Amino acid sequence: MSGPLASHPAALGPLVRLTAAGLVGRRRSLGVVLLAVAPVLVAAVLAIGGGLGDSASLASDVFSTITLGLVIPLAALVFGTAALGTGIEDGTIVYLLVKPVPRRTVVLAAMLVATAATALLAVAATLLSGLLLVGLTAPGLLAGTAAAAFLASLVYVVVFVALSLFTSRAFLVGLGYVLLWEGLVTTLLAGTRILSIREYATSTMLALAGTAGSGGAQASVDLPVALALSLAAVVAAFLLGAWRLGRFEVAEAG
Amino acid sequence: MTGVVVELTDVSRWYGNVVAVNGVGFSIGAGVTGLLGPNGAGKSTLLHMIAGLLRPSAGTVTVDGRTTYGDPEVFRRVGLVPEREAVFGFLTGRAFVRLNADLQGVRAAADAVERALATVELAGAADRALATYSKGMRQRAKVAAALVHDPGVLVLDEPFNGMDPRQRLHMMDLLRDLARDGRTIIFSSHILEEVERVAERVLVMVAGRLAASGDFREIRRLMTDRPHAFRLRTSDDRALAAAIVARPTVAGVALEGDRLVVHAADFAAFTGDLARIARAAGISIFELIPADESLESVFSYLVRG
Repeated sequence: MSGPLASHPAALGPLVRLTAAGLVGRRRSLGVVLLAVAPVLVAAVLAIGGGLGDSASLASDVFSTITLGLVIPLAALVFGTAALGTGIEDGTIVYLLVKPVPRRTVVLAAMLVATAATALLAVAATLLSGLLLVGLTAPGLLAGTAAAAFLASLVYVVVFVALSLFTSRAFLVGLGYVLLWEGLVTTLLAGTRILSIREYATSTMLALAGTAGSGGAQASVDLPVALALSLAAVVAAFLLGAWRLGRFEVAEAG
Repeated sequence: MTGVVVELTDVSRWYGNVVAVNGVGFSIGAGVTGLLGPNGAGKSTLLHMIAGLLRPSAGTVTVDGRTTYGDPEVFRRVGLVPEREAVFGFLTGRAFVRLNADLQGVRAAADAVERALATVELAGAADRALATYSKGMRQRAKVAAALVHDPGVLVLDEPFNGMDPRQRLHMMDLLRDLARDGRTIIFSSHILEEVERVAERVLVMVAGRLAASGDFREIRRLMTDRPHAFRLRTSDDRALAAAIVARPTVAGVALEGDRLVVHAADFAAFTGDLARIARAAGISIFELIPADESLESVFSYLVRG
């Protein structure tokens, strides 16, 4: 529904506020906040325990396995699939569809809010757990993990919001992607890593962290490729989502 | 025809192999039109096409001469009150109506919101979250949200569903008032009495087809003049059967166990006949039950007729 109507900019604000209020009000959101505390707690325990070798590589491990491996994809799943999925499920999306507002604006608002919510938690958890382990001694590592956290939040969320427009089981499908594809297939078959959001984030982290956190590890996807593919995924997911909502039909009740 | 005209021309809509709406055509203007039909008749599909939410598979739906689907401008002229009860429970009534005003791009939104809330008499509860509203209040909030941009056409999908009698009367008054302002109002219902009390015009839909349309009294007559079946329990079924089968008002008689089933050819005349004959033959009638009064049978008669 991108027709002759110029995007009326006034619609984005109300849509953003509505989506944000919807996410804040949900019990699941509280679970995500608690989940985001996990890497900080682990970092605190490791920092107090001390002496477990190189603190920079510890920080990088905590980020890779817990924050990037678990917290960010799960937060993105919860926020991304709820942003529009809840309204589709309970029918309230109709109130947004019968308005002279381009459908792409509705999708954009959902992606903005869910990305902001996920990124806020992800970057905060990343910086806090990083600071606990390395303090200010490795600014490159902090910057690298924070940038990676932001990139991962953005790409995961945008993909999951789009997914929620195509299937009512977006949460399960997304979880399958995170656990089976990124958690299993890409670890076994190196060639598949080029299609892994997690690898794009890892590549970003390694590029910024330099030698500090890499432990000599090589990124499996080059940074320019990772950034280009991330951008492509974001743009494609947005366009597909807008297209899908444009031809969305309310469930038939009779 | 006054008001904003809603016109359907040979409209069909199918989902895969299922035909939900089949060759429907009508034109309505200002006033209240009731869309009557059993569940699954295609009423929601029809209303969604009028509101511009669904593309007709064939035919055209226009509001004010504009094809509804794919024209965002139509959303400014139509207000839709969906059937689903769910609303954004975390918003207050006022915030919900304001959201709709903002998305419609209403100028002087604050005033429009207060007007809409006053129209549905929700001003007093406007600062409470929708989640705390009763069904009737929620329905009124949905009407306020659909009215806030002052549309010429108001489309309501089963607006009386789940309401108690008092809420129902209130909603009926509201629809009549809105129609008096020159609005074109169309609402769906599967309950005859609801439609009878509010609608000036009635469209009867059965199995995706428009079975009847017109003035309510006409439809009512069609519905009461059809053949009726009655089940009777009397002091002597066989004797009564013999006596009434001779009457032209009776189309058929059957003995089913301890009940007598009579098919009346003329409903009004038969009821008079029956009492006279039974009294003359000295037969007592213990029970007289219409056998086919379900709405579905009324509708299926209309489709055949």
